Amino acid sequence: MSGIAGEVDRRTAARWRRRTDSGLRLLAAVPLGYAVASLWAMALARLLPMPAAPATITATLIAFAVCAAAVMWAYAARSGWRAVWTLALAGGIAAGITWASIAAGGRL
Amino acid sequence: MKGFRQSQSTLHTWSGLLLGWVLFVIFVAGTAAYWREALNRWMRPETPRVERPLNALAKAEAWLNRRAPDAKTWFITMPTAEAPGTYVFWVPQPDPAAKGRRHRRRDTFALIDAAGTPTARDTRGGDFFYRFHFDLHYMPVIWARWLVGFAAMMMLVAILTGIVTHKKIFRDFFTLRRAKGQRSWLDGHNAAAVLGLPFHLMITYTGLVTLSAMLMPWATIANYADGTKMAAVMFPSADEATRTGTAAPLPDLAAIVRDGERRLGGPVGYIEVAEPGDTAARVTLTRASSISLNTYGDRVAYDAAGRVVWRSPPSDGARTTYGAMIGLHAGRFGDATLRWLYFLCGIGGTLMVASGLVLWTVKRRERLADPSRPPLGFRVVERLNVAVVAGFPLGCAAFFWANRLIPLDAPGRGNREVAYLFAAWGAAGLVSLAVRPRYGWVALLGGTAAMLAALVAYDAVLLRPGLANWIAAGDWALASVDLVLLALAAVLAWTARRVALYKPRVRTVRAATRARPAVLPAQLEPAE
Repeated sequence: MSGIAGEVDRRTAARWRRRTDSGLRLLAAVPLGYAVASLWAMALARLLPMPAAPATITATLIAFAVCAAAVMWAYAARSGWRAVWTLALAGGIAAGITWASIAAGGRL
Repeated sequence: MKGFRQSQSTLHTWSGLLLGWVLFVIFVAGTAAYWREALNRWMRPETPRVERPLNALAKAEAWLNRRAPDAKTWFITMPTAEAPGTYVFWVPQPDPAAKGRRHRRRDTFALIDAAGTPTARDTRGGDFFYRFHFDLHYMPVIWARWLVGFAAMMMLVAILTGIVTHKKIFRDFFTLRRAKGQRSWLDGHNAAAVLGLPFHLMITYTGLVTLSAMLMPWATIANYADGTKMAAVMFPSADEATRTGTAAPLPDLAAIVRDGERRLGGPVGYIEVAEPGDTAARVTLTRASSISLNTYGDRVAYDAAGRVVWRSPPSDGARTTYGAMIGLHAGRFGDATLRWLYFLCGIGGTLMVASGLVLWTVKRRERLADPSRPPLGFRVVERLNVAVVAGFPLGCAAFFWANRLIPLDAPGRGNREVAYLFAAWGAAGLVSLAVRPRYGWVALLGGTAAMLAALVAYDAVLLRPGLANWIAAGDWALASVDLVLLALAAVLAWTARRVALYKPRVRTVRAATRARPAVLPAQLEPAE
């Protein structure tokens, strides 16, 4: 009897692991994917070696590709956790660049 | 590589399914919107053709001068032979008493025909499809655009993951296995997707760009504390005119347009008259987007005496790219041939989305443990497919019929036409929920085919002027609308017949030859 109960427990645990993984990937894809694209749009707008207006437009045009790539990565990563932390890190780097650049150069 | 492809296949299936229904109606509306002006004319059949645009412009100017002589600004869309007349829109002088109250656009908008009077038939015309394509209906515009933007991003993801998932993209390009169930649907989906792949990628990415000011304002925020500075770069304009209060005769718009066409190197698309009838009046012309891929035409401004006072600065590479992406999406730069190509590609995209939605059910049906009792989720998807893929076209057919049958003097006529679209679509939705999907497909596809065929017959026999007059006068823009509807009716009727005559193969034979135990529902979960 305990064998069957153990089997049921194991199955329940596996189902919960799958659900957590799906939830984390969804979190990584939708809010985080958009956040990473937005933050890299900001960082690129500051970094691209051109005047402010064309840099702004170019960064905006590139941002949608970044967003699509982030969504694909959220499902390609080995695990849901990995998807979340790698995207959070990618967004954090862009946020750091943007913050440092605005602190140093200000905005128009 | 296998793991990557597998993960992307899952993403492809779910992003495609969840937004597929929204994408389908966006695709249908966008495809119809390539004939926006033709539909604007077709839905106002009694409106005379614009033979001489400058003459029509002068009549619209005279009408505006009677209706809104002291407006702050007039906006005039330059009439062309493709349009039913001159679209005019005006902004009244700011009223200090009404501060904070929002100005309602529909009270200050008119369509003036070539004879100089507002058009008789109140209708949204082809503009309905254009607005519905990104504003949807019955919901706040901002919500609609975020939903459309989200769906477009999922579409981009579905296209990219579709490419990754597709192992033999070139071999499958030449493969169409007919009458093979799931395999045929997959081949059909692949053919629609791969044939139009450059178009699908282009239209999806540029669609996101058209909404980028709302979806992706972050680059602007990073560089500008004052966002209006960026707007001034994107949409340069002359300094605002300040009213002097001294009356002056209206500038001769036709003469200014003739001069402007020479200076701008192409036809004029939009005319903006600030402070008309004042000595400070200013006329700004924008070059039509029919002449250039860049949707943002050069601009030139004149004072009340007709002297040039301002010209737009040359566009840099980034802004030109941005404008060209929007131009590529809207396809306004194209002539009739290119417009047909856009239209056919739009149909290809519509078929890609529709076949993908159907494929989802076909694929899962073959793996169901008990096909006579599919799980609830499966049944919902199956019926929603009928409600949207077959139901929305039926709603559009009802919209066209309402345009023909509602009396010209009925109050709120234009909105009632739209209400009929949604009422018919709603009824179609109820039918698809009530009956078995197979009967739903046949009833709705067949019903739409009958409605469209009858509409073309109505246009040919009862409508005056109608189809016969258009063909006799060589007015192919209008005749083509009826001919396309007739072709659609034929295709829908053929499809309905195929569904009605379809006999599913007996599954037990397959199961026996495979000699495999029945698939458990639990194993179905990671379905790809």
